[in-house]
Amino acid sequence: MLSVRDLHSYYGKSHIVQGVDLDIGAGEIVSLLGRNGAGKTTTLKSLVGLVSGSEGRVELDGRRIDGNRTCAIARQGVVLVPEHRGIFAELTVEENLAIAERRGSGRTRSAVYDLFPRLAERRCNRGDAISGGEQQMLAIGRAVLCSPKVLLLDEPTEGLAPVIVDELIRIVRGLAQEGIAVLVVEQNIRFCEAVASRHYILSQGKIVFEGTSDEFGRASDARETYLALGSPGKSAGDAQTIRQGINQ
Amino acid sequence: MSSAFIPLLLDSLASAALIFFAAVGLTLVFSVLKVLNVAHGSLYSIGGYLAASLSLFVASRGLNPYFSFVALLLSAALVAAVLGPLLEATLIRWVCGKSEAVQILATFGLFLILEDLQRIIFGVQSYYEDTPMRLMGTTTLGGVVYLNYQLVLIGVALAVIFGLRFLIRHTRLGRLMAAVVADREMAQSIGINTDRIFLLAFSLGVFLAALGGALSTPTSGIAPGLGADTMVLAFAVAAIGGLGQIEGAALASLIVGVARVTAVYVAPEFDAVAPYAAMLVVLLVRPYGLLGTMKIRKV
Repeated sequence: MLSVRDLHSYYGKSHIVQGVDLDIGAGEIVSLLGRNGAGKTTTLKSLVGLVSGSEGRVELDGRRIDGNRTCAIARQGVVLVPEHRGIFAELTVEENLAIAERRGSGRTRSAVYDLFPRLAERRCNRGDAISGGEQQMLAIGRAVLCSPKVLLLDEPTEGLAPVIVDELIRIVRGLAQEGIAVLVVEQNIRFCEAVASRHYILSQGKIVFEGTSDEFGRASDARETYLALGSPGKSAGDAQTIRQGINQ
Repeated sequence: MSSAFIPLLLDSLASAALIFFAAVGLTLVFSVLKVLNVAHGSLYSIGGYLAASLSLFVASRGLNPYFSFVALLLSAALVAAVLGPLLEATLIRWVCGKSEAVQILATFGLFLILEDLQRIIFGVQSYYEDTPMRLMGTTTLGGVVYLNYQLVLIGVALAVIFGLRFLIRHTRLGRLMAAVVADREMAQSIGINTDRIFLLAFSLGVFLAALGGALSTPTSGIAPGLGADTMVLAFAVAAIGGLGQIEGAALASLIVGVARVTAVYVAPEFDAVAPYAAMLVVLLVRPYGLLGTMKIRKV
């Protein structure tokens, strides 16, 4: 679905992303982990053409999309939900969704309201008059209206209460079941372990680990070195707790 | 006193209406594109020249004089359809996002080019073609004769104010403009073609300026220098109203209109200074203008 080869990005003279390769298949959820400043956000922004100094090969279903304008990339199906969520504060919830809706795409506002019933209750509220969790749902709902093939989520759980994180896990899995490929950048390892089947670790602009959830669970060295986490058993246990929470 | 008051009010409103057409486009373009277009006044005068030329053509061919109304609207639409996309896709897009100094210098260059082009195309003589004004006749109220055309100018200005409010608050284009103004990258990320929104907003600004110029020709005629005069007045209005506010532009146009016309009635030698005296007073009290925020809409 999405294939990235030798991606380099620069901000002025700073070489932020240094030759990243990524692959995400349809319906697959993949996490991109790393410390602050590792280049995770820059990688996502480069994929949608928001970093002017970036080069490399980005293909969607075998067709090159690098070099296209951001709005064209979004219309081709690679949609970014940024860390700050990008809700238009002066527009209502309804209007935030309406501007992303496209006729004939098969994705409608009412389907988004079915997915996020809380947004339906808030539809007349301004974008800055809803909670952080609702803003995140609005941001994802708005991205879904763009009929994405690939969804790029930047720190979706940041600042959210655990119960909302559980709901996000359910939603992200549901989107993947519809065939949407999801690349999630996160500091929250538990969230990644709960949703993603493969993981990449980025350090100083380079991919230093790539593997399945099992491999990631066993790679305590990589986790220690690049993510500086506690014992793997502890976070695996936390992920287990989240899974149980969802099943209940 | 009261016998002089109503004509003064009506003249002020008619004057404010024409100033508003020039200023509202400037303010719209600034709020959406964040570009201060110094050449905006030239678009007003080009609209005026084209309208006068078309009206004279209608008269010279002995066509139905009511075609001169069509000529006014058609010339504004023509200027917007041709110069809007042409200027936006070239110079304006290039200065977008650059520093204010670059924007002002580049659009000032454009102003000089447009002024000379007008001299080459339309000559340096003044045009006066008042068929639309004569066709509309007059109304006598309390022994004072009013031009119906002035009432129409006020009506069209009100229609533009409410039309723009409706456009911005209740249409898809208005929401798209608000999104692009608030966060351009985010708007692009959800597939909004920001270049198209900029083009539409700029062309709409050009249309409003050209419409103002076209509507002004039957009352005051047109001569070289109108572009510069209009530009300076539009900037005074923008400063008084607060850049980026349509309601602010309307209110400020009213203040400038009243100041000018009162000066003409009371002390004609201060006619040219009055708008800037008003601007000075407002800015002393409210340095960011009357409604000085950078928002084009509030829900």
